[in-house]
Amino acid sequence: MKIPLSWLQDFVEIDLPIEELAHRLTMAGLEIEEIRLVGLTKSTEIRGDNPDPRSRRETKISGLEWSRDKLVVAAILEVMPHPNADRLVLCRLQDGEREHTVLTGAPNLFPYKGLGKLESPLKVAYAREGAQIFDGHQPGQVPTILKRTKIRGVESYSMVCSEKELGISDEHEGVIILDSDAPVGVPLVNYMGDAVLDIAITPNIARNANVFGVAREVAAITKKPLRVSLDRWVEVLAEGDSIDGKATIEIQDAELNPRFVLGLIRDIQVKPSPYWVQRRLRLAGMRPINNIVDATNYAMWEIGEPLHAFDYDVLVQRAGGKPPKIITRTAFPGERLTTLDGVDRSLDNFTVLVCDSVGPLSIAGVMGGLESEVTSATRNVLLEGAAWNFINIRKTITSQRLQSEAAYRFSRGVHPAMAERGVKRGLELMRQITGGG
Amino acid sequence: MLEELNQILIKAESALQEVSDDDALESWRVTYMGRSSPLMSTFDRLGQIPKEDRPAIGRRANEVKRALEAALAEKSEALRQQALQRSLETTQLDVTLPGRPLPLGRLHPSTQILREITYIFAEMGFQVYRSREVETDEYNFQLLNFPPNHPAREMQDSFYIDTGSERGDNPVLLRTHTSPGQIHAMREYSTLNPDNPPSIRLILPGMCFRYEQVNVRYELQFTQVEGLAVGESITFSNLKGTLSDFARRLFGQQVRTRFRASHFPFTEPSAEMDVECFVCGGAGCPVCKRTGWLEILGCGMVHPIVLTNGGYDPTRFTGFAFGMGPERISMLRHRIEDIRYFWANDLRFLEQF
Repeated sequence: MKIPLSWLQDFVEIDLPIEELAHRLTMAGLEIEEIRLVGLTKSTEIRGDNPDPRSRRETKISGLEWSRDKLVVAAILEVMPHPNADRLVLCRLQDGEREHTVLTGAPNLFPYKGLGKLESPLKVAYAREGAQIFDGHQPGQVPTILKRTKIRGVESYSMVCSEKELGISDEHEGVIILDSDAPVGVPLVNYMGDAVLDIAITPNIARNANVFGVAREVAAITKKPLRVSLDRWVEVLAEGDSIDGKATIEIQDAELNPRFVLGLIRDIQVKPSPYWVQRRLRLAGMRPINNIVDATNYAMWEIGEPLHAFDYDVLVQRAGGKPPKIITRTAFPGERLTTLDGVDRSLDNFTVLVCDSVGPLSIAGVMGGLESEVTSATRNVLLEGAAWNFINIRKTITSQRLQSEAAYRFSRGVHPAMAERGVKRGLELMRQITGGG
Repeated sequence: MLEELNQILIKAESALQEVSDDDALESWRVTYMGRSSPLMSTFDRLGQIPKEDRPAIGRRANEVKRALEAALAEKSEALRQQALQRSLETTQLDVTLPGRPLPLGRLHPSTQILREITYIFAEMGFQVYRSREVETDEYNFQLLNFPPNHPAREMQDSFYIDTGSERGDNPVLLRTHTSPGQIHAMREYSTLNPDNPPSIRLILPGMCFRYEQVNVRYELQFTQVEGLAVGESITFSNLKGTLSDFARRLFGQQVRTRFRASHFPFTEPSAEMDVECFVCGGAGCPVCKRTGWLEILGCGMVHPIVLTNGGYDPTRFTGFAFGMGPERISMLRHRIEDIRYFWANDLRFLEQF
């Protein structure tokens, strides 16, 4: 379970050095298998070959420390063609001290080529000469020092970085484009330096398979108050329209499905998530898809309730233009469903399904169906949060040989009270990053 | 005709005088006693001889044949004796040389460490209790507080024995840990006196099996040592004291230990015990992966459900249990880098211990 430190700090103040935090968590039963530095530095007292036994590194540490003065936030003011190469561009860039001309082959800057001075400058991660980064062109994480050189007749001494070069992820398709409010000239480590704790979660503490759960443990260990109460997500969004009359729910077996909550968000626009969401998901080991899917994954990672997003209009269409009725029940003999992974599955008589009046929509708590998947054309999203019988989910994943992050959590038990909180956290995020309401 | 036979005998006997080795003897046999020899052809021609002469000639032919056979046997034995005499004269034999030593076997490294561990606990008053390697799901999981579909079962994939569907929820399998022995032992002791069962202190060593991808760190089979103490006032302090003392006796008096919270279904609370790395003394080295600590064993207070299943009343009795892998300790101690060496039956490996 990968937990970015910055995410943890949303919920609890941490004033311990990161190695000390890892030690305290390990002793409390949350074994830290690895600390991966993504910008932050190791605490000073245990650097180097200090002979004091207390200085030994109890936890494996990997990753990259970002130099404060060599890696900074910068703004690209203009993207210009390279005089001698079609596949390279020159960027006029302001790093807070002065302007530089920086050469890059990043394909995601090409659309800006030759547009003249950009109306809103692109905020990027800028590496000055001598910065230590990872080599973007070699597999894995190979440290390298940025040196002055000449590429196709143009002198180059600095660069705009990709996620791979900064040790954030393996992504090297283009450079990072930061959110537009990133402050130019500030050390990158201050803006988004992070560290990822990789925690082994034993089955008895499945409640900690999320950021909030770990924050709760940190708060208990360090005697700091939590910054946010779980009840916040009951109170939030109280001002929205009621979902009454827009969808109905029928639970056929409350033993298998003790809680089922729906939320509706309208007039959304499906597009890539803002950078801060993508970055956190990548640090957690997930792949950003689009803002709707990312919001469900983000909320799941954050508070532990797996969510499922349906295309509301597809459901209305299936219901013949009427408000859809969501039914949870076990599968009929011979019933089949094609899941998101494209596999047409034959279902067991104990498999619990989320259905509408026409047929199955998803394998409850495990994986969604292909037909009601959110697509780029989706405008309205129906969001599901539920609680399922964990033994039944285990039987289902064993029988279907199907694993997912949702199934991982539901097969270990998620408290029914989390369903409503999860849906509200998901809706809150969607409102923030999709423009819907 | 009789004369002819006498001539054959004389000729053959004189020719035999000349024979001095096995090859010549064989060609003599072919010449005088073979299918087309004059003697044998005499037998073929018997039918053409007048009826009244036949008995005498036949008798004589048989006498000659027997005489030649006897001479052949005698010569053959004489040649064998000659050859032996020759070899005794030409090669020296020293009968006073000592015999060749038989290679002396030795204990397998797993057995060695197992015995070392057993001795230490024996000194503390723990008895050895052995239990079966083929178990039922009930003993291997259910009675140890792993209900069907429990998430902890995911950690141990097992070798199930195909007994058809007749056994339902209680299939037969190779034990995945020595812990089912806890139930066997507790039941055995508690039935001695169900109202007032005796306290127990046991060590349960034995082979375990898991269905795993074999690699440098995991083998299909390995030994485990389980420990169990049940009594009326056993506390976590007893557990810590016993195991810390064990670590000092095995690794040296100066070694420090630490207990980390962990999880096993059959103990609550559960912990893992680390010992300070005995290679670097805690300073950090490749053996301890620079952490200064080595993970040695898992332990905890026996879960009340497990006590109940063993016939001990959890409101009256408490207990602690622990388990460790002797191969792992052996690997750390001898810096063996691949667990597969243990069961590969390679003498070059085994002879080092």
